[in-house]
Amino acid sequence: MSALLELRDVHARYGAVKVLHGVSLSVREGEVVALLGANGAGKTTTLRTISGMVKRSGEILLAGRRIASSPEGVARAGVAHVPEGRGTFAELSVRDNLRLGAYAAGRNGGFTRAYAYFPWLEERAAQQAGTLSGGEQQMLALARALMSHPRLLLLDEPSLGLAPRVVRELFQIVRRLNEEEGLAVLVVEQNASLALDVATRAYVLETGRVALEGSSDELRANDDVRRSYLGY
Amino acid sequence: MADLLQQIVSGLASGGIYASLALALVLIYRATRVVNFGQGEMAMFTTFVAWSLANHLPYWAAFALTLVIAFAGGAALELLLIRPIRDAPVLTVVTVTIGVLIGLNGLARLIWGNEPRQLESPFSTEPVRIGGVAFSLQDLGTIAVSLAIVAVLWLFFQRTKVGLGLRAAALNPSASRLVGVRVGAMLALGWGLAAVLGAVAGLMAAPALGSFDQNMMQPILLYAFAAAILGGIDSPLGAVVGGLGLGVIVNLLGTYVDVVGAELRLPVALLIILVVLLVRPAGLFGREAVRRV
Repeated sequence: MSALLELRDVHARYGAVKVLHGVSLSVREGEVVALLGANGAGKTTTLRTISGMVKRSGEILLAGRRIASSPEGVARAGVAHVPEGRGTFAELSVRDNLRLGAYAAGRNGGFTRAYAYFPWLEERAAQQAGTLSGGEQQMLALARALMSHPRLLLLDEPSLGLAPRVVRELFQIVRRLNEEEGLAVLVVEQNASLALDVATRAYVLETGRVALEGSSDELRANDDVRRSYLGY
Repeated sequence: MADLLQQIVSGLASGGIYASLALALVLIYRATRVVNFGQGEMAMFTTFVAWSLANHLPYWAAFALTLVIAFAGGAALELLLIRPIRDAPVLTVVTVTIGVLIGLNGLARLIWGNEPRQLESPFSTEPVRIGGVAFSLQDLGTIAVSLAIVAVLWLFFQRTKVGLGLRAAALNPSASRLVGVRVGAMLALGWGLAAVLGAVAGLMAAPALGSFDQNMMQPILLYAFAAAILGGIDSPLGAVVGGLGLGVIVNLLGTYVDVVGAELRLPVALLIILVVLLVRPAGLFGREAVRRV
């Protein structure tokens, strides 16, 4: 299958600090890809660079064409980014948060889909989003991403600060979205074993470079990965 | 009793003007985190524009055209003056808004001269009798126009996609951009809408003042600050309730408390600012600022 997203030798910096030193990776149609690595390796920056939030050089292609360079443009091209901290509009209602998810989408029907995966959101549509628990806000962020009928979902540390049960539920839904809707996902995750369970392939970033890549099974069997990221 | 009712309605009329301008301040504060000191002079300038237009056009045509011009002018101010310094410290932006104040005041003197002008009221000066009490039609008209513009804006913000984008851009710019909201365009739009609200305030204030000059909006801007702070500087509902409430309080105090009279109304507004900031800094409807560190 062809590459939906392709990064070729991408460099990125925050001001004077270089964070990415030539990252190349790809996500194919219908694939879940995990981005692993230690704190500060550049995982979040990679997602932010794809979304045009960070100054970059190198080439990023979406379905073979150069991706827009602004976050608005990337969103309008069909990439949904659930950022670190979930990007919840805390003061707005759950419904308005979902409406915002559809802001860039040219089509309707998002609510049906979002409520199909997260039925409880419908009952709490009028609730202020900031009053939801952390896990609920992460679910809302995922539902919001679905509203735009994305071709690609960028998911940044979905497990951060959540109870293990909630995290399992969350990853279950990501898996279903991939299997039932064919949604392509690039997920950044600290919890490597969890990420490798859902992902077909993975990249390991070290100080702004891809240190390792392979199928989830290959990486799980790799001694370095096991010691550094899986902890056994 | 009849007198009290009249004074309350008259207070609500002034309050509607304060509320419109306070809402303009709140709109810009929410989007840019800055109090726009130029808001009053923007309103004054558009009132002069309306005066020029009203010499050639029927009142309501001039009114509508003024709002369109105000919108374009407000958006242009954001694009030309505020956008280039969007990453500058708050103090820089505040200084620029003070520059807008001084610049527009001078520009208006250059264009229209120093003599006071009159803008006729669209409403008859005849009183209407409701239940035996005579009310000024101009007061009632002012209340109606102020509330109508607030209601239209409220619907726009709550019910339309662009209104949602405006709210989102003010609350969380980076997350807004990630869902495809053009935050830059929203800021210009917000400034345009604030200028429209200011124009309505100026257009309603001019006939109430009798005659107006380039300083017409300065006391009103202070009342609008007081109203916005009373209601909560980040709360649109607070601006409206604060504006109407302040109008009534100041008018009643001025009428019934001899010490206040006509001269000490503005100090009352300043006193309200002081007390609110001391007792309840977030205002009636504002949220306490919580800073996570």
